[in-house]
Amino acid sequence: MEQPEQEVEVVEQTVSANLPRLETTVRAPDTDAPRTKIFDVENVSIWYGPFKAVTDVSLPIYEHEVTAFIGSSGSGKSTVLRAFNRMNDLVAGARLDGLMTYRGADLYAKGVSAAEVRRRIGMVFQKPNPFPKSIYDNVAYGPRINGERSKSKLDEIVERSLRSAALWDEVKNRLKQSGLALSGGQAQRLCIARTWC
Amino acid sequence: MAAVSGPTGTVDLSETGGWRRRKNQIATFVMWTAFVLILVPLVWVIFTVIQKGITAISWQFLSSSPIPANVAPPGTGGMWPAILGTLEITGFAALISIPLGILGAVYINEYGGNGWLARFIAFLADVMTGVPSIVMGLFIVTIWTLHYSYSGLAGSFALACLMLPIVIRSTYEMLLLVPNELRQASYALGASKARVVLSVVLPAAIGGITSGALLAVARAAGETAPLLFVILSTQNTNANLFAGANTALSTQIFVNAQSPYVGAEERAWGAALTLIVIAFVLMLGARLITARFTRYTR
Repeated sequence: MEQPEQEVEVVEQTVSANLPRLETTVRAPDTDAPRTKIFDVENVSIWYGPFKAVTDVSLPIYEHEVTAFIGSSGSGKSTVLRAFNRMNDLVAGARLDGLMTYRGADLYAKGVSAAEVRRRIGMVFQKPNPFPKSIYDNVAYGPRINGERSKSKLDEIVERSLRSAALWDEVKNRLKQSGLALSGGQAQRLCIARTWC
Repeated sequence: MAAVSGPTGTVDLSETGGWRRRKNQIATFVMWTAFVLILVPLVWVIFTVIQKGITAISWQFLSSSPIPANVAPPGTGGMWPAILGTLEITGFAALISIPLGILGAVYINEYGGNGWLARFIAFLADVMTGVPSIVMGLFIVTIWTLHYSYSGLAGSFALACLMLPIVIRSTYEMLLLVPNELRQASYALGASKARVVLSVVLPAAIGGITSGALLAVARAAGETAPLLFVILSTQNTNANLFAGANTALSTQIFVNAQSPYVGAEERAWGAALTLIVIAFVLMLGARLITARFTRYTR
């Protein structure tokens, strides 16, 4: 039987002059379906004050694919990742050069609200960071920000998110308990559920 | 069989003696001594006040008005005007200073960043913490009492000035303790700054903020110096906070304890015990409220 040849595209990038390189591997899907670019990064450099953390990164990120950044510590993986939903804005002195688009819209254009960007582009952190609230309130936090007040709607969203994070069966009987009482792995799944809904 | 190096088996796991062990014993001894020394003034004060004040306390003492003249014998009259005054004056001072102080601390920690204004306010709050309470009284005399005459309100202002830096400082410390990861998590979900502060930062710090605020209230309830000038003193119940001379437990203790009459002295001790009980009830309430607010933080 003929094995469909998998096209693997490796884009190598120098991230910082004095640091190891950040490699971006984009694995093409098995089908010939046209790939939709979700993000496009063109010649992006990021500074923290006078320190240039990332130099001249360009890469596409496609729909229905898992893209991973691999590199040694300090090579700028998180910095690039945090640029996608403008989390670097929260670091005093952080600055970005180049073009970063989300479905064709420039993320760093004038008049773009960082909060609006982050409502569409979620993020799960390396360390689990549940809010000191109940499991239910942790997951319902996002929808509540978006103005959802209906109890039945919230119940439904919470259940759906927790199910898709494979956490529902473990916590369905203790939704009112603190999110901090969960184990590390459970807490991280809670954060994933929180980001999804 | 191989050589046995100790009575417990092949490996000697018993505690070694020497200097390390001695150091441990010394440190333990110092710690226990300090603990006992701390207890001495605490227990002594409370014990003395209870012992001398308990005979004065009765329903009549707590509820009747006016406060008798200092020549009146023990067991006559009551302290209701002073109790009401303390509750009203301190309560209104808390109403002014707690919201202001919390908002100020939120500005310093969340909004001001490293800007000059935030640092300036934080510096002034620190300086104000060290200002003697009588200076606050003098300040209110100059800007308020001289123009609008004596009132409980002026006393509230003086106490609010006193509490404000304490509330700012304690709230600020509590906000500093909120981990940045929580703020980031909230931002990453698309929350605005105000939303982050209201829904994540303040709830995470509410336990400590409540404790700090209550500490400020308890401290203010016992202040005498700033009240002496600004509320004057009266023996009659004055429920109107905004006009007329008022009185408070602390000032009654001051006035009565100086008097040579047995009845007045007994009333001073009774007022002191009442004040301690009020502070105790406040603290208890704070604990209960805090426990309710912080049930998710553990």
